[in-house]
Amino acid sequence: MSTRPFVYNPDQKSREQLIAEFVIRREVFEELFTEFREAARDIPPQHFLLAGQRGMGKTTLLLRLKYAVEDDAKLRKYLLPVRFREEQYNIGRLERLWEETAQLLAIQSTAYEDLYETMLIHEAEADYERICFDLLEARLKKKKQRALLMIDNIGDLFDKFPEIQNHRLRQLLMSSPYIQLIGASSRVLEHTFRYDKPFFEFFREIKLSPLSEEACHTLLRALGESYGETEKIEYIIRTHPGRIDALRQITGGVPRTMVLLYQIFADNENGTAFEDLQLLLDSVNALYKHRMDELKPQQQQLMDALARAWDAITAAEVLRLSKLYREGVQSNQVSAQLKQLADNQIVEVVEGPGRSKSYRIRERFFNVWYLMRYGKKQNYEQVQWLIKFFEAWYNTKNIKTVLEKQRETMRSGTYSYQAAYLRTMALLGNGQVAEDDKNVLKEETVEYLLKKGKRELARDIGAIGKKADTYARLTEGRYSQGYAKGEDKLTYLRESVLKDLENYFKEATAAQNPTNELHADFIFIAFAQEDTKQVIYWAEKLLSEHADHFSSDHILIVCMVLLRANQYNFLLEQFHAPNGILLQRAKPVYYALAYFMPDELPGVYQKTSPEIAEAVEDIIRTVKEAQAREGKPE
Amino acid sequence: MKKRQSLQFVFSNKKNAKNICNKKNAMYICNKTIAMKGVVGAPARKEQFYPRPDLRAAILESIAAGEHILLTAPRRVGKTSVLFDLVDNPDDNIYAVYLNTEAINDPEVFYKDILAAIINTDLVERFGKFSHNVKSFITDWAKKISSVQLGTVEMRLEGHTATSSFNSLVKFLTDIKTEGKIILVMLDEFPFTLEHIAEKYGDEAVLYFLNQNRVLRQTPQFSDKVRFVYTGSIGLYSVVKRLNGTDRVNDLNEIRPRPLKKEEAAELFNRLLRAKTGQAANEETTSYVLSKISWLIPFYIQLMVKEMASMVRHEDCPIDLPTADIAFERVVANGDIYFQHYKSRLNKSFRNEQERALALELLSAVKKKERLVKNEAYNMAAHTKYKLTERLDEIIEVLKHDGYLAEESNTYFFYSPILKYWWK
Repeated sequence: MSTRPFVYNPDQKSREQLIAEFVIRREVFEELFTEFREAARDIPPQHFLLAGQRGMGKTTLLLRLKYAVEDDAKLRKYLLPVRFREEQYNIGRLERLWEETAQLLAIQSTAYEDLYETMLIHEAEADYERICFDLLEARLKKKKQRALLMIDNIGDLFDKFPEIQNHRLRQLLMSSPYIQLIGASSRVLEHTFRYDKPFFEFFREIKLSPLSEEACHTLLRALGESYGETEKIEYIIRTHPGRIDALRQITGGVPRTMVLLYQIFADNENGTAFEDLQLLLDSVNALYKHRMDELKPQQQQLMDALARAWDAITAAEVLRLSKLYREGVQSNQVSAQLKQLADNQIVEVVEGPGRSKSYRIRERFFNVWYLMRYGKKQNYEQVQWLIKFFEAWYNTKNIKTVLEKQRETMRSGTYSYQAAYLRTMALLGNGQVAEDDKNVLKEETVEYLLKKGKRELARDIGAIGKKADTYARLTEGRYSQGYAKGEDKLTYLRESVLKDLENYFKEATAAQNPTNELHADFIFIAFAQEDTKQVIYWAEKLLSEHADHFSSDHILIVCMVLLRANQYNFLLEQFHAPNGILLQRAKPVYYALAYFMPDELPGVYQKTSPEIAEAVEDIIRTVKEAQAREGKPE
Repeated sequence: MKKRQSLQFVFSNKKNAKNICNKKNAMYICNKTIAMKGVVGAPARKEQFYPRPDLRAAILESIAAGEHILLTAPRRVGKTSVLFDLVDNPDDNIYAVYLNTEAINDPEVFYKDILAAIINTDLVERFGKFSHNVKSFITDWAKKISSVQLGTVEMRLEGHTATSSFNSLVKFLTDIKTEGKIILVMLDEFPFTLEHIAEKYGDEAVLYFLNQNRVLRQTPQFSDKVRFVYTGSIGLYSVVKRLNGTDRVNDLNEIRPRPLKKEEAAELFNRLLRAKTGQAANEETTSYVLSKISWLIPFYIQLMVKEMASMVRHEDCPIDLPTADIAFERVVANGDIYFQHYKSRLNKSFRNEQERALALELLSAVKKKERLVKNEAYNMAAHTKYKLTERLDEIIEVLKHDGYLAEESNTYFFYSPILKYWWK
């Protein structure tokens, strides 16, 4: 468990830590505490409902109130905070609530230590619930005390209780001066807005809304102080308020997500904030997965599209990204589905100018979870949210400093591998970072991850960074640049290696673990010597034995060589090989190959998807030009 | 169903009320400014309660005339608070006993709870207006009841075999000599009781239960000693009608608490605002706020005050129209969820497509016009595409019953400003 400031689970913080870190929501805290203090004792009190998404601070506020009551010498003699666990799996009926209250009171005060046992004596009686409450109330009355029930996820209790018991609870809350209830809910409860439900507009609802700009400043100042960055934060607030606002937008103004992001970037020492992130993600995994599983298949696809977009997008864009148009789904049908998701509070509608509507996932941390779990690594989907934060928070100069620090910390050897992986991925996706810097960082991260024994992550960084870059180049029509590098390589090899080819081969094949770069060299050499058989041999070896570590650049260049050498059938065989990697890693080449092999791959070229169309055309043009130069048939 | 005029005389001085007016139940408004705390959801008690002298007077007048009362109003209008006012500020001659019966599904429990509530010694002491003899009688009854006072009270009179709780209650009411005082039994959320008994025991049991209640109201031996007030947020008549039992409740005088008048609403609004911020709103702002709320019940006024006061205290906002606008936005936040729910719920409320279509059109008309007069609704129902004039009353009843619309003086408007804001 982390002992750093601002950990994410308020239950795991010490009382002192929670109180010290309680810098936002102070007005609502003061208001509630004053209500508790000043409530008349002879009449039923006001009951409250804290409403707000996960991470908005409901549990923290409940705990802060609890501590405040306990610290007030006068109030604590009268008001007894009874805090229930976050999930109350053991409470399915009202009598269980009273029993649990009795047991929790017994922990606080010896005056209640026999109460639960006394209740149990009557367990077999038909009106057991009434007996439980009467005993509880009688004891509180005798002690001249009031029990303040603090219940998280109170909607779950209302859902579980039979309707008549909800009526009963309402009746008791309306009539007894000895019980006060403050509940919390992360969803808007039908119980409170449905006219036919017992708790229709019963509670005084305190909405914990996204943080205002001022509250963001307060939170960041506190964070800055705990990380020794007070001056830096003040500077940013004063001179770059837009960054704060950007952070607010990215996180949806959710305090927990803001704290998390800040810690991820402030915590350079050993990157354990990322481990905390993983723990947090693990803790919500079952819940969020269940939420996705409950959706209909089409809705799941819509959610997937929204999650990957991160920012709010229109229904038309959702349709495009989800590819549901292939099933004949129309934009208005998507709108209807999105409305239903909004109704269920999974999606939120963002009103734009002229009544235009965009949609995004309501709970931003759910979006983070989704991307981290299901985001493609290749195009930085997984760390989309981190990239946005980087771009908002740092300028070009600062980002370079961040990058340097990252490298330095990795060199120290103590850096969390998860931090290295995620931060590097985010930095690689950041448009402010120079290409050269990216390459250096990438290489060092791969090396670091390999040292840590994280081969798969290393491969991802190596492949994704490059693949993404390569695809970026492809989509920007820059594939020829990559190919030009290959040409340079060929020239180099011709000039240097081929002069002493025999020795080169001897040394290379004698090496214990010939690198894949070396294998690629062999392909070039063979190609330069117009030895097609050797080209095939080395290509086959490379693609079958060393695929794991083969960088995307090399794969693409090898494919280009094969295309230039008219080795279409071999290439096709590689694409169709079971467990082959080419289809994953060189998709544009496949479609380009389909252009050259219309009979063997009928209609495939025509189905090239828009996002790689430009890259495919680039490859086709480059190959044709090269073939034309070399006087070879197309 | 009988209706009565509200009491016409309201005095500002209690002494004058008694001396000048012969009416026993003349009421007065205390002019003392009370620092009012708004309370949301729970009934307003004591200082929290905004006096409703007209309503109180109407209730007391009806009681004095020997009538039993049905208090009918949509939820949140303040029915329960008015009942508690009779407990907290008792009339000298009326021992008011409040009981919320919404969670009762057993007639035996119902009568036991009534008796237990009446013989509650704390309540008797608080009333403080019974003579020693009456108090002794009640105390003796409490002692006679054997078994520990837990859960449902075991009705076993000393020296007798177990008797039904109904009979015990009848015996108590027969035997007690109240010396001119009236025991006012106020049963809140009574229609829920009927529904729950129906669920548990069936419709016949409910009809029998209603008969028993009628007996309690009309037995000559104690009809001068006890009065019953029933309240319901869901309509008693709609529940009873379904059971063909309206004849069992046709002796009740129906009183319909209305929302606050504009002047009352303005006064409440500023009283609460002053208590929270030390300042009141000017006439323009007050009028603007009330127009946004439209259905002037204390509940929504309290919500607006809460938001505005928060803005004044924490955001340094002045009490003006822009502040009112933002406060209102906050009150109605998340209301799109309400809207989605209420819109889709119409499918359940109206199985008939035409009726649903008419209901939707009525709601759209109310949204557009703010208020829809009854004959306008009738005109809409008469359109050739509907021809539903004969069903109109029932359609409106459903819309009222389910919390879409409220009615005042033959005019319909949205019950909730939140729903009104989001309705499209």
